[in-house]
Parts: sequence; C-alpha cells; structure tokens
Amino acid sequence: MSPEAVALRRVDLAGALATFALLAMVAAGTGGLARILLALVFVTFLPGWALLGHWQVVPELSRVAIAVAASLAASVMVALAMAWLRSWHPLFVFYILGVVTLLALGWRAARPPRQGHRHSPPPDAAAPGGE
Amino acid sequence: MGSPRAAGVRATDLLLPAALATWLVALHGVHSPALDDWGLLSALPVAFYLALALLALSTVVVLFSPAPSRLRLALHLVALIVMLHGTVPLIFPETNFPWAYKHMGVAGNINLRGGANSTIDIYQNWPGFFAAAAWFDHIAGVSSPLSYAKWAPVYFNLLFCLELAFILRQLRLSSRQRWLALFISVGGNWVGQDYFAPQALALVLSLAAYGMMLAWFQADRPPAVLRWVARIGRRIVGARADATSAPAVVATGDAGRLAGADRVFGLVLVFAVFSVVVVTHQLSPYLVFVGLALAAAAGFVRPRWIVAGLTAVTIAYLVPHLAYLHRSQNLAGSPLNPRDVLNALSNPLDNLRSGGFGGNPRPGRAITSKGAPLLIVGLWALAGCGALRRFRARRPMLLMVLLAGSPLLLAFGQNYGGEAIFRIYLFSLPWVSALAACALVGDGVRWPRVRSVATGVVLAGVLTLFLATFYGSVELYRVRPGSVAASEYFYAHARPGSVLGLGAPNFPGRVAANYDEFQTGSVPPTLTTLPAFVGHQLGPGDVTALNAVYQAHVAATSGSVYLCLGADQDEYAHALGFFPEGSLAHLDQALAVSPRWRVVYRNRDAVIYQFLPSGGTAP
Repeated sequence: MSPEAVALRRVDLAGALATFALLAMVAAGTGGLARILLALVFVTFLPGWALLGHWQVVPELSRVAIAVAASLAASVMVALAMAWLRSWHPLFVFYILGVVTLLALGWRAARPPRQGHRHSPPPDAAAPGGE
Repeated sequence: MGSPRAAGVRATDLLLPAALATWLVALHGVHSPALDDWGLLSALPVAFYLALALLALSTVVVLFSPAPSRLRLALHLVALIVMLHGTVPLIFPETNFPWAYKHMGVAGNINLRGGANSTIDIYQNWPGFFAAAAWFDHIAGVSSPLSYAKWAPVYFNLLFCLELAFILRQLRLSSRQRWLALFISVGGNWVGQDYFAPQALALVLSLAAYGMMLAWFQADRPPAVLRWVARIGRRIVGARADATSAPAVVATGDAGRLAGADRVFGLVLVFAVFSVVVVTHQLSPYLVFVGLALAAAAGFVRPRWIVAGLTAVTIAYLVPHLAYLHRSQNLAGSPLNPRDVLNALSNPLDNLRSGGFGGNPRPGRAITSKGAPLLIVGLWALAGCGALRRFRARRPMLLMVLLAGSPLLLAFGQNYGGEAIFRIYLFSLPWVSALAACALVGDGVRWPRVRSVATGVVLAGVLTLFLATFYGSVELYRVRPGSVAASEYFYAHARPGSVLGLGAPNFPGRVAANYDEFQTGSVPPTLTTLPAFVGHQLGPGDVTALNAVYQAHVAATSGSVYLCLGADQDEYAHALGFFPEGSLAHLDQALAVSPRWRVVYRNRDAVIYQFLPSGGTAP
C-alpha cells in the first residue's frame, strides 16, 4: 500500500471514529468541550471528506480544502432546508447525516486500497522550495 | 508546498517553541485588563511583543532555508494565527465584538421558532450562517453560541488560510511565494470580519469557489489580444528576457481541466458552494462573481457560461428579497431602476468612504487608527511592485492583478453602511498578498540574504500595523460579562414591544432568541449621536434633556422604554472623545435619584433603567 493510501485510510478511520464518538455523545446527551470539538470537526470536515476524500483528480492538500468547503456547504444546506421548510428536527437530521458519513468512511477504511492516482503533481512538486 | 517531510531538527527549530512559551508566559496573569485609548497595546507585557518578534524571525529563517519544510512552515502559520487571534479570547471572558451577539440571537431565534422568518430582519433573509449555527448548537449540545463564539476568529482564520493555500496552488507561484503570501495575508487581515458572523463563513466559501474555478476551469493560455498587449508593455518597461524566464502562460492548476463525470461533479461543487455563499451573505457573492466575470472576460476562465450561471443564481436570490431591502432601507435605490444605477455609478468615492466611529478620538486612538490605512496602502504598493516585477520577468500576473482590482468595482454599487471599503480590502487581500510576496521573493535564488532581511522587515511592519489596528481598538469592541448579563435580563424580563436605549452603541444587544418580540417600538437614539449630550461631562444637568428625548419615544412603543449604561459604553465613548472619562457613570448617579427613572437591573458592569413617562406610571 502506498504511503498516500495509508494516510488516506488513517484519515478515514479517524473520521469514522470521530463520527461514531459524536453520534454516541449526542445519543447519550453528554455535553462538554469534547462534544463541541467533535461537532466542529464533523460540521467542518467529515461529510465533505466522506464524499471527496478519495476523489483522485485533486491532490491531497487541495482535497482537504475542497472537503472543508463541501462540508460547510452541506451543513448550511441541511440547516437551511429545515429552517425554510419550518421542519426543524436538528438531531434527527444530524443522525441521518452522521450515520451516512460513518458508513462511507467506515466502508472506505475497511475496503482494500485502489491503486493508481489520476492527477498530475503540481508544477513545482519536484522542486523543494519551488525555486 | 515544499519538501514533503521535515528535515532533522535544527538549532533554529527552538525559535518556534521559544516564541510560543514566551507568549504563554506573557499572557499568564493577564485577565480582563483595564484598557485605555491604546487598546490592548498598553495592557500587554513586553514579553508578548518579544514572542511575536521571535515567531517572525523563526518564520523568515525557515522560509529562507535551502529546502523549506512544509510541516515547519505550517506550524509557524498556525502559531501566528493562534497568537494573533487567540490572545483576545484567552484574556477576556466574553466574545469581544458587540455586534456578534445579535448574530447569536438570530441563531437562537431559528432554534426557538423552528425556522427562519424573513419578515423579522435582514439576517433572516440571508439565513445560511444562522441556520447552520442553530443546527450546530444542537449537535454540540450547547444552549447558545455564547460558549464558543469567542474562538471564531481562530477557527475562521485557519480556514481562510486553508482555502487560500488551495487558491495559491493554482497561480504558478513558487513554494516560498505561496507560503509568504499566507503569512502576509494573516498579518494583513486586520478587518475584523472573522468573528462569529455570516461574512466570515461566506469568505471561507468564496475562497473555495475561487480555488475550484481556478483549479478546474482556468484557461491554458490567455487570449491572443492579452498576450499581444503584454508583449508591447514589456517593451515599454524594458522587461528582461533571460533564459530563466518562463513563457507567459497561465498555470493549469492542481488537476488541469476536468472531463466527463469529474467535470460534472466539479460543476456541481462550484455551484453548490457558491449558492451557499449567496444565501449566507448579502455582499460576498457579488465580490466573487465580479472577480470571476473579469477573469472570464479576459479569457482566464472557461467556459464563460459558468460565470453567467453563477450570476443567475445570485440574481435569482436577490430579486425576491428586493422588496424587503427597500422596505427596511437596506438598499440605496434599486438595481432595476436606471436612474438609481446611474446615481450609484456616479459616486464611487462616496461609496468608498468608511463610516468610522465619529467623535474626537483621544491621542492613542488617533494614532492607532492610522494603522489600517497604512497597512492598506503599504500592501497595495508592495503588490504593485510584485506585479511589475513579475511582468518584467515574463511571469503570469495579470490574473492576480485583475482579481486584486475587481473588488474595487463594488465602489460603483453602494456604500453598504460604510463597510464597502473593508469588503473591498478583504476580498483583494488574497491576491494582494500573493503579489506582495512576489515583490519580496522572486523566482530565482539571487541575494537570499537581502531578500530574507527585506522579508523580515516587511513581516515585522505588517504585524506591527496589524497590532496597532486590531489590538489598538480592542477598547471599542470589548464586552464585559455584566453587559451580556444585562442584555439577557432585558430580553427575559421586559414586556414584549419594549425598547432599550443606550449611552454608546457597543452593547451586546439582541442576544436573546426572543429578540423578535422587541422589534416594533421606537428606540431612542444612542447618546453619542445627540449633540446636546456630546462633549461635556454628563450629570444631573442632562437629566431633563434626556427625559425629553425618551418621552418622545413612549407613545410609539407598546412596551416600556429602557436605558442601559455600562462600563463598556463609558470606555468606548471616552476613547472616541464623545464624553469625558466616567461620564456615563456620572449620568448613572444622576438617574439613580431622578423620579423619572427606576433601576430594574444592575451588576458591576452595567445598569438598566426604566423610563417612567410623564402623565402615568409605566407598567
């Protein structure tokens, strides 16, 4: 397995664990700093990473940036849909999104790695310092 | 953006931990310090400034090492963000921007009412951020954003940098230029648009939209006419044409142009992220699509219909909300009325004018307020040098120049309550930072010592001006716990329809979820806006005039009329020269013995009086 595939799998696994922990805390009604931080990681990153984490046309670092944008956008869309439809069921919707994210990340962390990488390295990737 | 893994530990690696340790030591024991007209600058110990100097030195050392380590540079960037934006939340107990509290109220209102109501205010007409915050509160298990909002600047600045790094990868810059641009943008972001507010989220997503467009839909070459103009220009400025110069082609970015299903997926992502910007903030989408439209018109972005599509999304959301904007006087004229459009186009300089704070600022405030214009002019001048340098070296720069200049077109729109100039600067900052970095770090490796010294001087200058601008005005944005408690008390105990007047505007109003029950009354003007009260020590002699002001608002208010005074307001009014020091405290003493005023709430930071109108007793 390539170092990149190992790193991706670790991120998937960590994301799945974080999602599971958050789902458990929400279900148990546990509060505190840990839940706030996990919620922040979830809303900021995890659904987007579950969707885009292995989209190989984009290099890893840019993939993180796009995953963050996608996660934040998804969070706003989901919340807005509830607010506009006046069907405000925040925890129910979180459970759905959380379970879908958990399944996607868990499935990816568990399946055998795919070979190959479709993107070309950026122009300066071979030149440390870029100059 | 550099060597993928860190080399072995070097002696200079001690600089970063030393900077962080010095910072922590400096902040130890600094809790809610007293502030004067120099803001936080005079309240922080010398060790704080030493810590920042160490960090700047360490940054330059790592940046100009033979093979800059990506990990080390990333750690320095995070440390800079934490030191610049984590200091205030560490030493003050509450969120320090008064206007952040009304955003908390909107999020709470969506939770309380189970949805957004576009008749309440402009925030609920662009509710993306507030709905997300309301949803987040449930997931995080908190009752309101009060428990985490003060850390928003750290969070948003980290995300700004992540998305800006994504953009910079698409601009054919060297690794050093990209990293330096990130450091400059952090130091140059004094605008304070990173607090718990829709524009902060909108900026993150706007940068992501820019990044995706440039990564996937950037043309391989600029159009022939631009290349021809560039050739002529180079002859005029005597550009060198050495062997190391690259041809003036545009970078293809991270992944090149997408094809097939990837292209469809990329388009969906761009439109989804941009649509969220549209429903989150009134102004940001226009800044994004103006930049992209210019880039598309110049041939840097293809196909052009994408930009047309983004424009359609923006207009489609605006049109149904125009009526509300007119009703609430949030729009100067109508974009559908040719006469109003002509008026807007004819006064760009008016639109660039900042509202400012008014008053007659005290010396410290007067000096620190010069930091912002100096920083703006300095960075734009440096960016100009960078653009010229790249132009002479036959390196791509036109796209960055276009995008840096495109926010200026907002000046032809409207003043946006004096905030247009700040949005213009904020949205030009990514590109200005990139060009400024190009002025300091070239494509070659000549004169590394001179460059490192120049970079160090510029970084130190940027950070100094940031501190003057941002930390130098903390006294204007400070919110004490007692003020928050007073605000919460008002919304919990006042009769619906009541109004709350203020001594100065820096009060955390509308913090409560039920703020929509207090929208209908006639709010007395803030005392700092009334010439009869400004410029002298307030006291018993002002009570009669104050009674007259408040009496005028009784009839139009279904509830009661209240006045809140407090230490924050006193500090603000004094720093800006509206009143002598302690004026509002003196007024408090005078009101306490007046038969027309009754104390309904008091704590060590704030007091709320109920006005008892003549000809009857207030309920």
